[in-house]
Amino acid sequence: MTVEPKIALRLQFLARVVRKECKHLTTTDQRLFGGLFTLEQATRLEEDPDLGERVEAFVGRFGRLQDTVGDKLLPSLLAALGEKPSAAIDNLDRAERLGLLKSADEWMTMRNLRNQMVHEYVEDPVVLSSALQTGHAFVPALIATANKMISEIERRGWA
Amino acid sequence: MLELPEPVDNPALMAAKMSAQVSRAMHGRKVDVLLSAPNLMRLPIHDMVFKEGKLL
Repeated sequence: MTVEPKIALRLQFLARVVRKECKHLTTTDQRLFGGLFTLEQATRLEEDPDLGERVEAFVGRFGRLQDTVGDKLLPSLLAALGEKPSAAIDNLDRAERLGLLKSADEWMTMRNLRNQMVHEYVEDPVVLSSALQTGHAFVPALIATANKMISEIERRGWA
Repeated sequence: MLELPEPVDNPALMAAKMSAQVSRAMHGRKVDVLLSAPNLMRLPIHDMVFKEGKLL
């Protein structure tokens, strides 16, 4: 199956971006989560600017990778596969059916977790530490999804 | 808002899962779920919901 050069270029560009974003997220994840992110750490975030910056980097990179994969790479890949453009939730369901995504519901859960990881907004340290630990636990699933889509693009000779 | 009588182990995950379920039922519309539980802080937003929210 061949795709228009314009679509192929877009997929190649997004694949390069996603590879970089995966690498950056992995680095930040390792820097922030030497162990679990504890309630005690969440409580002293305001007094520890270095920790605050690591949290911000993790949350930013987690969100950026999820946005690039879910809002850009997935719609472009579906278009290249001949699928009609659709609402985000339908794209996720389609991706699950095509085996590009383990679970659309899990993806939406990850998406909804992000607001709870923003330490300036979340006033309850119990919620913040729970959100960051859960975000950390989701990193392998997020990266696996990104890699699966890139593998599909490579397998078809589009990148 | 979801009011829970027992402490909740992973409140962020529970709220995110609930948001995803409700959002799916509402055809992808964005939904925020707020939890109230004995181990969570009581914030002004909880008071507002208790005062103005409708019981479902």
